[in-house]
Amino acid sequence: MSKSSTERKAVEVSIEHVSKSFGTQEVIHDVSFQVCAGETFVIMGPSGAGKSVLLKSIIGLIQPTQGKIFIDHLNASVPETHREVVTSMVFQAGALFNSLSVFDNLALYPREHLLYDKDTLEDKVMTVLKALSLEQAVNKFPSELSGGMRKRVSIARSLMMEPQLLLYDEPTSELDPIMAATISELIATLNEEFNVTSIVVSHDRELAMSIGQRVALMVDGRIQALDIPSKLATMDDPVVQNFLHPVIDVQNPRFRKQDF
Amino acid sequence: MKQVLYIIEFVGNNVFLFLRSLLHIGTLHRQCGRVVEQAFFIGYTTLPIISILSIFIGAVLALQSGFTMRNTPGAQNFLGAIVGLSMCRELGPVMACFLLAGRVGSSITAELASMKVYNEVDALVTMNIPPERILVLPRLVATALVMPLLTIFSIVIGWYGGVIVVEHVDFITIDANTYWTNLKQFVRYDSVKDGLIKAELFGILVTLICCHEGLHTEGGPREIGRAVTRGVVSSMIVILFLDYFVTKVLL
Ligand SMILES: Nc1ncnc2c1ncn2[C@@H]1O[C@H](COP(=O)(O)OP(=O)(O)O)[C@@H](O)[C@H]1O
Ligand SMILES: [Mg+2]
Repeated sequence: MSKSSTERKAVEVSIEHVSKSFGTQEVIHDVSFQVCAGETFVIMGPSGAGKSVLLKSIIGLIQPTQGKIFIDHLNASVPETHREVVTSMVFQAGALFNSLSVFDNLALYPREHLLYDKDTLEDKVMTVLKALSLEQAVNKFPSELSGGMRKRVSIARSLMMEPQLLLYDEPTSELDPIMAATISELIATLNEEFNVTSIVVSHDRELAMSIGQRVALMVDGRIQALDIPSKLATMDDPVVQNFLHPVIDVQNPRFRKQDF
Repeated sequence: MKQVLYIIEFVGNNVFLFLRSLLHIGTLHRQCGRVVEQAFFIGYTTLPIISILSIFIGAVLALQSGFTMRNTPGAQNFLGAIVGLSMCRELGPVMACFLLAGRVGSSITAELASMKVYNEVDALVTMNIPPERILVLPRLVATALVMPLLTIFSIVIGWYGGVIVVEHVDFITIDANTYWTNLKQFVRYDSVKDGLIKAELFGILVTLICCHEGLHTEGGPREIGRAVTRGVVSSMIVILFLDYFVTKVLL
C-alpha cells in the first residue's frame, strides 16, 4: 500500500508454554506453537475454549499467568513490543468507536501518531475503504452499519495501521454465509497483498479449512491438533472429527430433559 | 480495615490517573477540538439547571433569613451580606460541582464505561493511543476552563434570586438598594476567589473520579449502570468531605 508496508516485514510469533488463569479457573493450559512470518494461522475451537483469551494475550491486553509469548523475539507482554512491532486486532464485536464516523474511526490512528498530512490521510482512508467496498459508508456512524459492514470497517481500521501482525477474533461470526465467504476471501487476499502475519480465531470450519495455511484446534484451553488443513481433515482423532463433522442426531440428543 | 484499604486504593488510583493524564499535556494543542467539544457539552448541559437551582437557593436564603430577622430592627440590612457571602463562598461553587457530578459526571462515566465494556478502550490500547490522553485529559481541561464561568454565573444568579425576594416579600422591609450596598460592602474579591478555588478543585475531582470509574468498569453492560452510580456518589461524598477542610484552610 505504501512504502512503509514494503519496508516493514511480517513477524513470527512464538507461544511458549502459556497458561492463563482467572482466579482459580485455568482457561488456557500450557499452550505452545509457532506462527511463521507471513503465515495465515487459524485457531479453531468451540466457544469457551480460550481462543479470545489467547489472542488478547498475544496483543498484550492480558498477561499470561505462566509462559511467554514472543513477537519477532520480543516479549509480547510489555507495551514497548507493540510500539516496536505494529500489531493490530480486529475485535469480535468490532469495537468501533461509536462516537466517531467511519472516516474518523479509520483516521484516528494516523492522526494520533501524526503519520500523514491531511490530503494523504484522506487518500489513504478512501483507498482502504474502496478496497473493502465501504465508500458509501464513509460518513456513517457505527450504529448505522450492518453487521457485515461493521466487521469490514473494523478490518479497514486495522489496515490503516499497516500492521505486521494482524489478529482476527471471530471475523465471520454472526454473518450470513455469503458475507462470511467475502470476509474469508478478504483475509486471504489481504495477507498476500500486505505481507502481514495473520492469526484468525474462528469456529467457522469452512473459513479455517479454506484460508488457513495451518490450523490449530483448541479445545478446553489445550491445542488438540495442529496441522495443515488437508491433514487435519483426515486425522482420526475423534475430538477433531467430532468438531469438523458434528452429527446432529435428533433421536439421541446430547442434552436431554432429565439432564436439567 | 477493608474500607480503609478501599479508600487508599481509590485515592491512589485517582492520583495515578491524574498524573498519567498530565503526562500527555504536550499533546493538548492537537486536542483543542476535543476540549472545546467537552467544554460546550459541560456548559449546555449544566447551565439551565444551575440557573434554576441558584435563583431558588438565593431566593430561599433571603426568605428564610428575612423571616427570622423580621422582629430584630436593622438586622435585615444584612441580608445582602448573608446571601452574597453564602452564594459565593459556599453554595455557588458546591452546587455547581454537585450538578456537574449529576449531569456531566454521570454521562462521562456512562460513556467511558460503555467504551470499556464494548472493547473500545482495548482497541485504543492496541492502537498505542493511551486512553488517558484522548479520553481523560480533554475532559479535565474542559472542566478546568468551564468551572469558573459556571460558578460566577451561579453566584450572580443567586444574588438576583435574593434581590427578587427582598423587593417583593412583605415582611422584608429593606429595598434593593440597601441589599446591593450591603452585599458590595461585605463581598470582597477574596470571597469570590475562594469560591472559585473550591469550584475548580471539586470540578476537576468530579471529572477525574467519574473518568476513573468509567475506565475501570469490568464485565457486561449491567456494570455500566453500577459504574455511573458509583461515580456520582463517590464524587459527591468527596466534595462534601473536602469542602469542610478546604473551607477551613481558606477561612
Ligand atoms: N476476564 C475474564 N474473567 C474471567 N474469566 C474469563 C475472562 N475472560 C474469559 N474468561 C473465561 O475464559 C474462558 C475462555 O473464554 P474465551 O477465550 O472468551 O473463549 P472463546 O474460545 O469462545 O473465545 C471462558 O470460560 C470464560 O468464561
Ligand atoms: Mg471468543
